[in-house]
Amino acid sequence: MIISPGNLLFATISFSVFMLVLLIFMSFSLVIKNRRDKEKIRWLVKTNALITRTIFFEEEENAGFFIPVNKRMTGLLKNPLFRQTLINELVVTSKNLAGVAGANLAHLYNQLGLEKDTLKKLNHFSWHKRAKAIQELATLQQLEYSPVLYNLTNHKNEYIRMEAQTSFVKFHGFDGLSFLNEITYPISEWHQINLLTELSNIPASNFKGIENWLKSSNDSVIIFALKLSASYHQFQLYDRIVECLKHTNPKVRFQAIKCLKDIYEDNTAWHLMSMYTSEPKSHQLQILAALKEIASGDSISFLEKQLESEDHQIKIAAARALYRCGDEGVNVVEKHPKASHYPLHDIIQQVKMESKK
Amino acid sequence: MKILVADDDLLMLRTLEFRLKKDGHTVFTTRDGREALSQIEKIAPDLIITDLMMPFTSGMEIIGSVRQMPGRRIPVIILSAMGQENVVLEAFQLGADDYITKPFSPNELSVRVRRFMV
Repeated sequence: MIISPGNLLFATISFSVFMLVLLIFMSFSLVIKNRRDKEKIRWLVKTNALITRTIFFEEEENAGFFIPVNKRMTGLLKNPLFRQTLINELVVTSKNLAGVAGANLAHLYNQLGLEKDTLKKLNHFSWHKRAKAIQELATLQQLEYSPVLYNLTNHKNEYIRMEAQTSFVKFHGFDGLSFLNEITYPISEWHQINLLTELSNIPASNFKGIENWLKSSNDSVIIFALKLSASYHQFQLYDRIVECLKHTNPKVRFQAIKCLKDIYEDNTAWHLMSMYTSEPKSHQLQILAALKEIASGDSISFLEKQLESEDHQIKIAAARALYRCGDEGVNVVEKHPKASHYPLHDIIQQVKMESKK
Repeated sequence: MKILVADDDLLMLRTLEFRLKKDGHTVFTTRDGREALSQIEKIAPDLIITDLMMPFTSGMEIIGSVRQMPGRRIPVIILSAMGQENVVLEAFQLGADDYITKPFSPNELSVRVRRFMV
């Protein structure tokens, strides 16, 4: 096909015009972006100065908390973007500071009415803004909004309920776990770690509720309650934990086995050995790992049988447990008829090396 | 007392500088670990306050280097959000003299710094 010179000229001009418009648009965007960046740097200098003043503010007797704000700052505070910049800086700084300094930052947040901005975000349609708002309220110690956060602990959006649950624990410590009584959505493995980390910063007290959570209809709540029981050595819950070994959900049974490694009585090994054959391999390995910690002479014949397994992982786990059963257990492994043959020979060397560490 | 403060968070650095200057100390600040090491050689501080997670050189590496330096022993305070037992123990094993976990109170830091004044 031959293109006429007229069409070619038209195409060239159109393309040039398009490129020119694009160039103008890009330059314009860059200018705006640069201006915003420079403005943000100026804002940060101002917010940092205000925050530093607030951190070291000392209340005069009976005068109450009030940080004087100059006219320029008052003007800037009318800009929602500046207010958000200030909130962001307050949140970051509050995470690092405790005591009077932390409380002063929370006072400043209230003095400037910044909580209104946060509450607006809390009703925003996008989940990430709502999650951010929850974090702001919790970090800046806005305890009066804790009932609002409680209502969000069972929100259909995972991120919103995760933030709300963590914040509620931040506010109320172990009492804050009361949301476990009502939540219907599962708690992810990741969030369980978050909650345990949050709790580890709080003095351990008031473990009310764990017994009920071990009977929850929400399986993830049972799993979390088992982790709590193990972490905080709740020996009085032993019978309830043993009950969990019969749970229909294999994940609950797995966690119960793990938990019994830390909370055990004389008959724990018997319970674990009784369920062994009906469990999948992952659970069997966990049972053998638990027996390594709690097994005694009564478990030796059971463990000896496991040495006959075709599975090498089972064999080595059984050998490890036997080595922890005193001389009798060690003899069972080392005087086994196949002790000088592969794989038992290699397993013995491996376990011996581990026990020397 | 000459104090070197190393933290990559600018606001935290300013906060510490403000508090320590208010307490009458001479304060030097830096935002990265590598610069902190060169500052230590230049100014020979009486005390070092350092964060653990910093660009180029971590707080742990700073303690290690300071402990290998000949001459007088410079006390080191670690100021970190990492409060796990193993991290704290590692810091002490390397030769840290104190460990403050964030969030912390500037007043508490001030008291802890005073302990190193001879």
